Amino acid sequence: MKKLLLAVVLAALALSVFASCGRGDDEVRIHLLGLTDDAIANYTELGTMGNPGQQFGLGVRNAILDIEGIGDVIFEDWGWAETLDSRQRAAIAAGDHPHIVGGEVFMPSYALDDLLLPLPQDIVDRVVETFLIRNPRNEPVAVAIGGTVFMLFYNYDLMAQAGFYAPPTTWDEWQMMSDAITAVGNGEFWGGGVPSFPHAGGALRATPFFRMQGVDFFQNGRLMLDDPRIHSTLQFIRDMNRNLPPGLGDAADEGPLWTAFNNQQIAFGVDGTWRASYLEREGVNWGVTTLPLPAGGVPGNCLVGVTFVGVPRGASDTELSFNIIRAALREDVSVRAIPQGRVSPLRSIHHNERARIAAEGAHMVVAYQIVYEGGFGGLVVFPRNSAEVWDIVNTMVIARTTQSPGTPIETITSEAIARINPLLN
Amino acid sequence: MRSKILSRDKREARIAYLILIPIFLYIAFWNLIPLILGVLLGFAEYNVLRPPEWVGLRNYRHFFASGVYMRLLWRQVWIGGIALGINTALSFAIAMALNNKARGRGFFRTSFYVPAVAAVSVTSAVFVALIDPFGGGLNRFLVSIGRDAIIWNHSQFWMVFWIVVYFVWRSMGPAIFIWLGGLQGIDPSLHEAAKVDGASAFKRLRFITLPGLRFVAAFIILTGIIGAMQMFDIIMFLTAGNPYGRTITLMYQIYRHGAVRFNLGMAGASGTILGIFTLLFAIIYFVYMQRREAKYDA
Repeated sequence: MKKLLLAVVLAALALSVFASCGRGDDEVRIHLLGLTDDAIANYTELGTMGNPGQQFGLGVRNAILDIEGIGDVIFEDWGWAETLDSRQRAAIAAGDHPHIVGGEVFMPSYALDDLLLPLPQDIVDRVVETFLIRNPRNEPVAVAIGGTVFMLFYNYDLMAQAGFYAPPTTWDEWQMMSDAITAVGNGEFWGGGVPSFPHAGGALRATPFFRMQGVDFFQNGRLMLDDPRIHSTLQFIRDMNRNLPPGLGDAADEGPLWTAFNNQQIAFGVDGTWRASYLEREGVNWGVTTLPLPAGGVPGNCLVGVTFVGVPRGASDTELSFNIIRAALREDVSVRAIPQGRVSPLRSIHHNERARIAAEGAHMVVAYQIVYEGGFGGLVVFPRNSAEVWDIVNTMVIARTTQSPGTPIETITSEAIARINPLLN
Repeated sequence: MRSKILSRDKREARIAYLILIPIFLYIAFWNLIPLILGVLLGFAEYNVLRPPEWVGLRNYRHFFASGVYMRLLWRQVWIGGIALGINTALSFAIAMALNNKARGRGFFRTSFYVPAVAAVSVTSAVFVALIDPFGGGLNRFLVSIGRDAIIWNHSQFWMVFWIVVYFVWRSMGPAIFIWLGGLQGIDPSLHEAAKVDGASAFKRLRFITLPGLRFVAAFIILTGIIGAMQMFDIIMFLTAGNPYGRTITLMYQIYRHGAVRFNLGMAGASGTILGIFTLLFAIIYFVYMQRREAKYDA
């Protein structure tokens, strides 16, 4: 029996030795999207080294490798969205804190949970406020290395078929034009409206329209779903939905809607700067402008396509971690974000690269203008159970508005409030 | 002499335990410990970023007080029940057909099994493409025969319909094979004797085939209950809860709590309650089968 016990102990020891061999303590592991060896090799194999996205990724990668004394760097692919979030949380829970953490819609939750270290002042000073996330003590703890905002893309040819030659500037005008294009299209093409996908893709696109009315889902410590401005915006989203191909505006999968837009079956699309490259590729006669405003409204928007980065408390070498962020924010690297259709967070680029921005096209001029002048952040964060509350807003409010057109808006919001309030208190 | 026999028994028992210990350890490590941790999580608030905080019965109170979770549990039961009922009946009917010595039955047996080995993520993508309201294969077909297109994702009825269709399409193969195994285990002389006695096909089914399959039926239904109560991947890939959350079941909610929202406390509590209900359903069915068996023996 003693021999057996000894064997068990030895086996456990051997296992722990093997486990510890898997990771060198002086290795730096970076899991930002698109920086892995495979990603770089794929681009090289495909002969797309000139791809703007690749140039930006390669720029960030090389800048990180240039950091003095960084040693061995391993670039890993941890995915995006929920996959990335779960892997980062697992690493933190295991005490194996990454040098930096990244992400988009869930990063404010990390800040709210006070997981991230405050950013050094030199980083904060270099970026536009819109690209910062703050913790409950109002300290900036995460910064975006790029992002964009929503704008109205339009198809000249479809507009012309209904006799329109300039994009709309107001909600009423947009609705009138969209209704007319849908009527002319007669089931072949549609005017277009505000997507209400039952996930963050819907919330991100709907949020600018609420903000144009001066309201958001959570304001001044209060859930705003009973606000008349929320109701009138939801009514507008519902009214505009009849100008989208049936069932596409609120489908779980965004893909078919954007395929229809690229295939010239929809005249107006609310999307980020990346849409321009798809429209170019498909040979669409397209244009872009700021989102139309409601009567008496104010410009409103929402940051999207953002890669926020921050340093988790517990990171082994915080100075190195911040140097990695500094490297990703180097001016010669960040400028490569412009042809990729991303807005650089650096103040200096907003000031010094206007010609380069203009050369990329109207969509980039519009995006930089909105970000710099508007100061719009990402989606709001609810003080408790934020992900669960957003889930209810996405499915039971935004998507239900169009999926259940017979249900009064007030019923939709009051039922959602009843479900959300217990989660917030 | 006696002590020698006993020591031999002990030696054999010791060897048996030595052989079993790795299996016990494996089960404890991969099943028992996670199970215990899952139950314990139900008494905590834990989002992975902060240490777990003990909250007692708060998650369980929220489960029963909110009303939402009981609705999701009920939805799991009725959607799962419909899917299981149709799957059990249809797979039995097909097994009966495939039990005949007809040409091409090998081809059909394989065809029915193929969906079970294909990845859910892939086959559900095909279904999603078919029921795409705009440009999907089914709506194209409906329009081509002069009917109106259906916005499937706006209707709870249609979304549940497709969940059931997909579940049955995918699960039927294994069930057919189990039924077939049972059918081939029935002594053919019983049927021949009944035929000689002038028993109709229905009577042979009622008094020979069905009683002969009672253990197979118990296995299919019992494992089916467990499978139906754990159904979430089909919903995740096919409907994602659409329309506006009306196809979300408790198991899908547990997945979203655990892997998407990181509300692990509610995931633990909901998982424990779902596990208890599944066990209850299984026990009820088991007791029912035992009583029937006793009645049959008598």
